[in-house]
Amino acid sequence: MERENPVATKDDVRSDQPMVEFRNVVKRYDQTVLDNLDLVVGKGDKSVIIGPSGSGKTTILRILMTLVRPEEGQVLIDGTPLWTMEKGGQLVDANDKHLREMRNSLGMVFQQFNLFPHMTVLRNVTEGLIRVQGMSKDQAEEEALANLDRVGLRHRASDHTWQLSGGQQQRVAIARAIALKPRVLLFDEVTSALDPELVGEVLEVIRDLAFNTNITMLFVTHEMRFAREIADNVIMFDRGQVVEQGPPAQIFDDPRELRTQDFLRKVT
Amino acid sequence: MSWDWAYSISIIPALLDGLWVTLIVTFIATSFGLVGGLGLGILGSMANPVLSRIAGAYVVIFRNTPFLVQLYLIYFALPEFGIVLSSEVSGVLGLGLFISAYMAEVFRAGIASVPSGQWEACTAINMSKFHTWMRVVLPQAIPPIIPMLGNYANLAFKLSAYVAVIGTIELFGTALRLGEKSYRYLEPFTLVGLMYLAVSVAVTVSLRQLEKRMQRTRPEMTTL
Repeated sequence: MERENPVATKDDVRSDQPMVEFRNVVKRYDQTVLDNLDLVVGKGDKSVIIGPSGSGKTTILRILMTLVRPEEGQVLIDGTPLWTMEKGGQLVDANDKHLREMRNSLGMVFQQFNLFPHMTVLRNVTEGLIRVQGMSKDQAEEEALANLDRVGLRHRASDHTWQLSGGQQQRVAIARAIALKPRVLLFDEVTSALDPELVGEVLEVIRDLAFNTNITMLFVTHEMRFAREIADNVIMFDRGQVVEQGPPAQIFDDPRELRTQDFLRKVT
Repeated sequence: MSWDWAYSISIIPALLDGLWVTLIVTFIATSFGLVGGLGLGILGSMANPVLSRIAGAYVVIFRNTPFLVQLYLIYFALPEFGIVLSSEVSGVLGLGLFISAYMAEVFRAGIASVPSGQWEACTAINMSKFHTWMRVVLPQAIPPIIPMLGNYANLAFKLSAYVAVIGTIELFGTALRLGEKSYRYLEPFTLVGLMYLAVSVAVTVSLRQLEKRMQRTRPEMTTL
């Protein structure tokens, strides 16, 4: 996808500085899903989390998007605690205001797209720009059209979302997320709900973003070939903890841990 | 006793006046019920256990006591606490409170039918709670429940006859008075019954039309 970059992104220069950090994070539902998880994602990095289904990979993204609160530990976004804040010299649970400030840096694309079905494609993208970022309608529409153009759907702007294929809907969801210029973008099994022939167009859009923006990206996916292609860092996750992590070549071709070897044998 | 056409025709203007009062009572009480029901439905859907329990208690109390008991408490018992309301205000208020408890459950169901992914998408684009409700949740929660809300408006219309017992002269009350004056009950109550029937059937038919039209225009939004 060779294209002028119409979408300005916050200029997080790629560096070894951590953008996302998990420190001893514990999350329990009926059982422990995250068990003292430690995890670091560098600024501008594209990290892919792999591992058996039901192992809690999605929970990592949901905690980052502030959809679920961890029981213990600390999550940092660019050094700032996400779920706690300082108040009168003490660390207290984050309030709504703090969470909203933090969410300005975050965006997420969901497995089921979660587009707003009562709005047109364009409105799906302008809604956040107008209601959250306070843009004028004209400005927001211009911005939204540029982002729809990036995912190749400018011509469908006035359609209803249910007139689009699943792949197109997911591309709109991506446009909605990047229009808000997140510094961290989370992809939760974004191709799992798609018919196989629609997966390619979505991966194509993500490839463009991964190679041409500095957005820090965190993926949960079962597309191993795609992971190998775009990841700087592959994180093998199982039973609430990181089993091992490293560049794709190392994890896929020369995994050190038995559990990683087992898992890769099963999925490839 | 046989049907007296001349008498029937002579009481029609009085009955139409009564019908007008009934429609006004129904309209105000339904509006009240919609606003109250929406508020209660939102409270009942909140994660805050105190608020949702208060809403839940209201619904339980008003749905599980007879409407007449509520009406008598408002009109005859509240004055003992210094709250004196006219018969008309008591009737409209009582009917509004009663119907709001039923509508609250409809709103709550409508809100619950909005997939959790919609809330999550709002969080992901950092929408405020207020905008999440106003722009995303309610616009999806309300259209599918409009026919059900209409059914309760129709119920309020028929229940409004009860306000005659605390002295509001609406359609049913007018028939009562006519009966007491002329000792003829066949004509007034037959005509009153026909008037209730005509309005109620008209409302039901138009609700069904509305439902059909909604299914045509928004195929994905009428599932509940």
